[in-house]
Amino acid sequence: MRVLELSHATKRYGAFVAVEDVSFTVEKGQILSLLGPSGCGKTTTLRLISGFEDANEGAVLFSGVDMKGRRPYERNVGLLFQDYALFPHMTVAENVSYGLRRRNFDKGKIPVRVAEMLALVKLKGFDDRRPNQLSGGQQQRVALARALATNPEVVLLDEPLSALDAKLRHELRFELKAILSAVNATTIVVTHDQEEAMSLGDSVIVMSAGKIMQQGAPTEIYADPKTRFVAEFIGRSNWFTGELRNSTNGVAELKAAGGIRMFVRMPESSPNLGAFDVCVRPERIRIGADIQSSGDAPMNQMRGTIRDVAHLGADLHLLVEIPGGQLLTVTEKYIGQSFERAGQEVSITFFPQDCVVVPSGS
Amino acid sequence: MSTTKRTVLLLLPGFALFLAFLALPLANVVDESFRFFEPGRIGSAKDAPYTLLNYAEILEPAYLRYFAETFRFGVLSSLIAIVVSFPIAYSVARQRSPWLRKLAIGFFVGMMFLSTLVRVYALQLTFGSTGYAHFLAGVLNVSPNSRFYTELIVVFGLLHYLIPISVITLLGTIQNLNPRLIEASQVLGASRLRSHLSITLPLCVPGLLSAFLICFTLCLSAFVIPMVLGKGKVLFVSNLIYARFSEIADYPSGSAVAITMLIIALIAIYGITWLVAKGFSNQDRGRSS
Amino acid sequence: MKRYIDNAADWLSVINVAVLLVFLVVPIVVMIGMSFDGREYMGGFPPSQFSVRWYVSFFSDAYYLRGLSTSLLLAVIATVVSTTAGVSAALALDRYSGPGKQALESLFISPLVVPAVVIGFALLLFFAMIGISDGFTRLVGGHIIITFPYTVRTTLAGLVGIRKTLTEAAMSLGANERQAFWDVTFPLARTGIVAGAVFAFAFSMDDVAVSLFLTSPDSYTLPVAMVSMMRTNFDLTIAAAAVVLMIFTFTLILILDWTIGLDRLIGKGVFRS
Repeated sequence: MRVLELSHATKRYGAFVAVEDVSFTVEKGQILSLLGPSGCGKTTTLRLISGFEDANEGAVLFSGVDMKGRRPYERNVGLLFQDYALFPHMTVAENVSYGLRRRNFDKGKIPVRVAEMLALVKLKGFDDRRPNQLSGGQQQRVALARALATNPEVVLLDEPLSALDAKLRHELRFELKAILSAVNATTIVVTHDQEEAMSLGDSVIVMSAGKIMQQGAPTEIYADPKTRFVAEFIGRSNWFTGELRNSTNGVAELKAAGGIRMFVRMPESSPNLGAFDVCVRPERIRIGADIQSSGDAPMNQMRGTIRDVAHLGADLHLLVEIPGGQLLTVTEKYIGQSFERAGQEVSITFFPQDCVVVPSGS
Repeated sequence: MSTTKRTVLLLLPGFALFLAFLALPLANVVDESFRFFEPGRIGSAKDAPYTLLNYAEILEPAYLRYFAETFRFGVLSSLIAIVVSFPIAYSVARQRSPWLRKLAIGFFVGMMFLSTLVRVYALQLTFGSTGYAHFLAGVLNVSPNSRFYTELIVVFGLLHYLIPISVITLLGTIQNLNPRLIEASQVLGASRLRSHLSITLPLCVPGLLSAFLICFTLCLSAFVIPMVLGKGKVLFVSNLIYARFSEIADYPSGSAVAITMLIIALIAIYGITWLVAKGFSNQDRGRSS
Repeated sequence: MKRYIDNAADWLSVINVAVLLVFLVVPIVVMIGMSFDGREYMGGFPPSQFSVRWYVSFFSDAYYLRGLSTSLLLAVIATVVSTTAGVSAALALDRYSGPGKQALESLFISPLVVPAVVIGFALLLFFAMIGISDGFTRLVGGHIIITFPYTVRTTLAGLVGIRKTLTEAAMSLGANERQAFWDVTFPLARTGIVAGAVFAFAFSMDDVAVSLFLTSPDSYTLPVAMVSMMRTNFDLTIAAAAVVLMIFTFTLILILDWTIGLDRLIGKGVFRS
């Protein structure tokens, strides 16, 4: 069931276009991440859905009904604010029940519902605390309970974890996802943090300058970015720029700067040869491996010198200089011991399938 | 209802008060200040001719004296007030014991709220003929009836009023100061006094300036203090305006004095505010280059 | 050497504190002591006999009592009117962010900048021109305009701390603008509003400069009554009156401390000119 639909929504402030021709749909129970740098229009999109702004063009539809002109209190949206926006003069229970009272819930059932919500976010017994007596993580959960209490049609999360420290953020991410799926909430998460977007979202939309750059499942966005912007925004990447030619069987040859030649996967939608950027993810490059190209499939192989080795817990980050002077970032799983040393000469290999071609400068 | 309409509606009552009780009355004073005054009347005649005479009068030495006196007392008292208040504000701001701190703040807020009249009367009792007048005058080797003694008591009156205000104002400034700076300076080998002089003081300059400004403008408009404690010997511009009204009902002249005083007060306030702001931006430029 | 300088500076600051405390407190002590003077003649401090006759005389003197009741009534009216107008103006200013916001704000604060005597004088001429000669009406006008800026300023200071997202949160939870205001904004701004009202009341009770111009023989405030007695009489009833006025002031401060906490008032820009 299509719970939310944005159709060609455009929002302008004077001459500035905050959101331009944005369209997407969200199904019941689905979590959609809106990802982009600050100022990309994701927050404005959120405000269009919640009703704090009205679109100049296009429409916002809830279950097929146009929301045009409806004030925020005339829509059934659960909003989790970045700063939580808990009412400081109310207790936890009063915060959670506020929406129920304002939306004229059956008075007798309110305490039951509040208890249910607090149990859901694992804050049983916190009813009479004030927000300033809670930790950041607890405040976040109260805010979530408050947003979900009225059983909103759409739940909007604005940078839900950004105010928390890194460790807590990691833990709460899974908890948040579990809670959202427990109530089968149709959710939009707005964030600038790619990890947050990828781990929470069933689907991810990358935005830039008010426009949608790409939409897809997290793995798809990561593995197959359509533009350089998307590839750079999500994850780390090594870049090669050059001319494409000799396209055969979906594999083309790239002649890059520094005399580097490599085989790349030909994108389905760009038959034109010419200048392109090629992205190779650091974990797709292997070091010192003697991978034999199986059969006819070509394999990229080059010599390089290790310039730096950094141990980052489970990962090993290596900086490898290849002929022509370009430095490549390579990550490997750390398996208890490493043989790589700075200064060491190694051979590096990667598959053409892992070389993603995007239009140059996109 | 649109947002603009609501904003206008909300502003309306305040705007009406401002118009009725400040803007229009002041406009009327400006008009009156240019009117010709016939001695013996109460105020100017309805269709009195316009004249610059009332302003010309102010330049006479007899009138200028009031302005000079107001300035002299204002500058002197404000300076003394901030000099003695600063160390106190500093020790209150850095007070570690919370209840001592609260007590000190409570004391100064209480002193600040104290009615001017109560203050003035208490000083009159204390330093008047039934109080310690003879003792204090004896120590200073002057007569309690001398002009100097009266001037001293007026300064006392102003100080009693200004010191609590300066302490509270400076407290805000000092609280925003990073105490680590002083410690750093001491670690580098400066004496505590020197650290204060070379670090605390310069950083507090904007705060000190604004405290001085507040004190000075309050002195400019002081009225009850010179009226009661000045015993007719020390008179401020405020008292001159009141005398124009209560003694000879020369409203045009009173108006001219009032407008002049208002302009001086505005210059003092906005001029120094502007200077402080300018000083700040210069400092920033110095830092970034 | 450094230690000697620091020691000297320490002693200097201790002396400074001591002298200041004596200077600020002694006059008040003298006044309170004198108000309980029981002697038949005008003597020095401290009195050798004590009595409460000056208080009896204050509370049985129709002249003072009339002044006190006028002052109280005036303070209540001025506080209610200026707080209402001030809160509403502050709300508008807080929401409005267009051009002229700064100008509007200084406009509402401007009665603080104009010397009180100038306000009193201007109002006197103005009321005479438009034909209002009733003393109480004139006093109400004067007291409203001198208390109004305090209510605008403290309310604004209180509103600034209220994040916009709180109102939005209320609206997303089903509250319309009016409900969001009464459920969220108002309770959070209340301390600022109360502070403004207390200030307004205190300044109204304290004013001499404006009131002196606007009084009439049957409408005068307690401070005006005291000033005229101070100039003509030498009678310790004024001391009793001053102590009563002082108790009023301290009650107000206690209210302020109880509702807001004095610590929070400082650095909020309330006292800035």
